[in-house]
This record gives sequence, structure tokens and C-alpha cells, in this order.
Amino acid sequence: MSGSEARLERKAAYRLLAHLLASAEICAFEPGFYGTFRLLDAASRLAGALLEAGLDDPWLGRLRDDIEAKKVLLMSDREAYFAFLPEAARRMAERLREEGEEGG
Amino acid sequence: MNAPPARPSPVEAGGLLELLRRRRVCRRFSSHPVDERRLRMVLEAGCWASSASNNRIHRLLLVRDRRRIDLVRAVSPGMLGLPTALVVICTDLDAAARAQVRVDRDTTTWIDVGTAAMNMMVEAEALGLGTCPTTSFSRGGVRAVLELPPPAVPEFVLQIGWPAGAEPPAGTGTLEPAPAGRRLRAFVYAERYGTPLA
Repeated sequence: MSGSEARLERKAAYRLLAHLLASAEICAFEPGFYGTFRLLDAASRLAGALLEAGLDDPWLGRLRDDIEAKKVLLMSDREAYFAFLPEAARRMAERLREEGEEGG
Repeated sequence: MNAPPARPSPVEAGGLLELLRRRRVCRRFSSHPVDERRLRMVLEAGCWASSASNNRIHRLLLVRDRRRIDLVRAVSPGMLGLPTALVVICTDLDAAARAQVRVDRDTTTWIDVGTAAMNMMVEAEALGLGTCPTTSFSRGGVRAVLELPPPAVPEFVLQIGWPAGAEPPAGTGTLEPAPAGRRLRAFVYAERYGTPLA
């Protein structure tokens, strides 16, 4: 595999699946906006697992670091937290577009 | 009527208030394990919490096994950090039945979980430890990974550890733990539900 690919070990994939399934369970009774946090956290965990698996992607590393720094704003600065959600989605979308352009 | 004589207190009230003010949730832990002596002090604080009608229907399960902590974290989206110890507060349905407590209707049982948790968090703070309360977890998931028997209902997971960047005081590992007192033996389990603290 090259640095642009990564293979998730089953253990790492199972950890992420457990997190997603447990999140689905507790989202049924926790405040609705917690769901945004669970998805954001899951995105960070997936990014982290891919990087740990050897993916050479500094952009993804920065995104993961930003998510880690911003997700906890839910507890201290809700306005900034909710402002980060569309920013993160936009950055990911722009990255997808760039990837498409690079791929021709 | 004369007022009862004031009881001497080993804790200065202002100091206690300051401790309560400064306590914060800890979400990043060091990998240094917490010594047995401190853990027992935290657990004993939980055991001395108020209990509705002194029913004592909750049990504290101490988990230090890294693999089991990792498994609990996998099914607990509220666990953002990786602590070196967990205390799982469980309702013991057998104890509840003996005390004729209707856990489905009696809200005092929830209050008792909270008082035990708060006692432990305050004691941990006094010992320099970090804690994070966790209620966002899959009940069935925690039951499964900790192999809890049917009467044990996990209600609350307290994450405990040294805060990231805080080194344990020198000589910490050599402290001899005090023998488990009556309350610790009665209400605390180690690693597996039903296994008393030695």
C-alpha cells in the first residue's frame, strides 16, 4: 500500500462500529443536538484510525486536530461549536472537489 | 435550649469550598496508573455518600484492566479520554428487592448515584486526580463488555486518572494501601462484579 491508502484493521473498524452503534442507542434519549457531537466525534475517530493505519495525509491530520479542538466547544461556547459544523463540512467538500480535479 | 457543641472538623470550610470551585471535568489523562491507596480513598468517599433510607442498593465496580477500560470506551461515546481507572456505579437489583425499592418508580435511587459520584469526584480532586462523569454509554454494551450479571445495572461511569501533564507525586507507587474497611468490602467490587476488594 502507498501512503495514499490505508487498510483499517478489523479491531479498529470494530471500535468505530461499536462507537457508532452505541451513539445510535443513546441518541434516542439524549438532547437532539448531541447527535451532531456524536457524528463529529465519529468523524474524528475515523480520521484518527486512518492516520494511525499509515495514511499519509497532512490535510486530514489538520482536520482531525481541528475537530478535536472544536468539538469540546459544545460544553463551553455553543455558538462557536455550531459555527464549526458547516465549516468542517465545507472543508471536506472542498477537499473532495480538489481530489476530483487532481484525479482528472 | 443550648446549642450542641460544634464538632471539630479536619476540613477547613473555606478550603472545601475552594476545592468545589476549582474542580473541572478532565478529558485528557496521563498514562500513569493511580496508586491503590488513592483509589481506595476515592472509593471509600463514594461508599460514605448519602443513601435514601440507608438502603445501599448501589455497588461500585473498580476497573483498572486496560483492555476492559478500552472496551468500555468503545461502547461509551461519552468517554472522550482514556483514563487509567473506572468506577462503574451499578444498581444491584437483588439489593433493591431486599430493600423493597421500586427502581422503576423511586427517583431517590438516581439521587444516590449522583451523591456517590460527587463524593468520589470531590475526594479525587483533593488527591490531585482528574475525573470525568459519564452517562452517555450503551447500557447493554457496558453490561456485555464487563460481563455484568443480570442483577447489576450500570448507571454511571466515573473516569479517573492523573490529568495529562500532571506527574504523580514522587514515591506514589510505594504507598501501602490501607486494608479495605467494612464499607469497601461490602459495596465495592474489583474488576469483576461480585469480586470484593481484597
